Amino acid sequence: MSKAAKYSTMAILLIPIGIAINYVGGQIALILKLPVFIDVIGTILVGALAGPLFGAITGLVTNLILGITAPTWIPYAIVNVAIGIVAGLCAKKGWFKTVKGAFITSVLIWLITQLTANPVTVYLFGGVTGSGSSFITSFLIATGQSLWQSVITTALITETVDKFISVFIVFFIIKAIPARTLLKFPLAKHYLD
Amino acid sequence: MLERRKGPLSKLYPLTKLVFLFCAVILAIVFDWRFGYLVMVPLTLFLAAFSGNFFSFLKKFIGALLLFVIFVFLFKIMLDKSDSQILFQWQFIVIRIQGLIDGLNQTSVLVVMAAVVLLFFETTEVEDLMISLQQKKVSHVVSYIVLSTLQMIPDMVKRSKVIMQAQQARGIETEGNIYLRMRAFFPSLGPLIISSISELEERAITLEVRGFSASVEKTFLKDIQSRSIDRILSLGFIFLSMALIGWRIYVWLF
Repeated sequence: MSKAAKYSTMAILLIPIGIAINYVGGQIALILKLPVFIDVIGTILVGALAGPLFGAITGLVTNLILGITAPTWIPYAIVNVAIGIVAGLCAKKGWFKTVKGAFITSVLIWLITQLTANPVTVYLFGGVTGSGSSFITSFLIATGQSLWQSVITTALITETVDKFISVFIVFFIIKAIPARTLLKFPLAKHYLD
Repeated sequence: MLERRKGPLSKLYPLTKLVFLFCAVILAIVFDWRFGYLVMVPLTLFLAAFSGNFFSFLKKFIGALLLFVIFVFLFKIMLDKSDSQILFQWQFIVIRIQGLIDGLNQTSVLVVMAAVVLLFFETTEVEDLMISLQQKKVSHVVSYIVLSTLQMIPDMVKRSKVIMQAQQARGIETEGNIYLRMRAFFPSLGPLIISSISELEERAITLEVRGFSASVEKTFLKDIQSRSIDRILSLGFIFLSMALIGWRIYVWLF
């Protein structure tokens, strides 16, 4: 087996795990009754270990598979794809190695989420997100704000903490993965000295 | 997964139903709410009944959309500033006809999408869909990712419960104030992720031994075939959609 083939098999195998982590992370947050979603950890992790392409595939397939039972997830695939790409690019810059880099990554992932999710919410969903946060949006609309203002404010309240926590969880997990395992992934050279 | 689905729609080739799915969604984007609510919703309900999955389909359909539809109508009615006919008025709540039509238009595309996607998976095994895609030269890697994810999710949910119980037994609080619950998050998720990643290399070797990366044509344990009715239906859907879109553009231009 060539080195390239071995890398790509490991990266391909990482995708289903990333998708399952996205789902299970959200479930654990739900069980612990945390006020955050934490449903993109897997996408960020795959992006960080295997690069933008694999991160994007993880994001896409996550939303398509969750869409089998909850089709309203499907349009948000674009958000998850964008997060995977940004995570992969940041990892290639070596930003998952330091706290400062992880912070910059959080800001970028937060930004791309706002840029991609809000148009989907406004244009396709008429401002509704299908989670409890719709109550915040409807409260804001009732106080006389426009739909865009209400959606963006809601997203700022609910997404900001969420994305920072997600990136830092991935940062700590990568630190906890033993070097001999880390070595098997395409972006290993950005983590090992 | 073992239980084979019966019913006439399940016998169709998966890609035929996929063509129908895409045509329906595109048409819903092109046309207004009347196509979604007066044509597609009754049609999918009828097809579900025809295929013998009516109640299971209806339950999923309502479950997926109820909250969303209620909120959209709420938003549209609150945002509606038009002076159209008032349908209902009670103190400060005013429902006008324009607000309702805005709500119907806003929800129509998603209602159609949810209906056809749910109907598709109600009558199609994911495995069959993947086999039919592979027959059309889509890479086997796609099939592997999708099918292995479907196995991986319940597996990891089960394992995460075991890990959470183990951590509780070791004294990590999973109930109490928000600070305590937040501290429980990492010990619940961390070990799950790291153990799954550590197993990866064994999985990779297992797959390679079975010729995953071998550059030969893959064979299937199960064979599904498209029949002539599938070709007729697929072409029918495509031509019908093109004709309807053409008519819509014609009406729009002249």
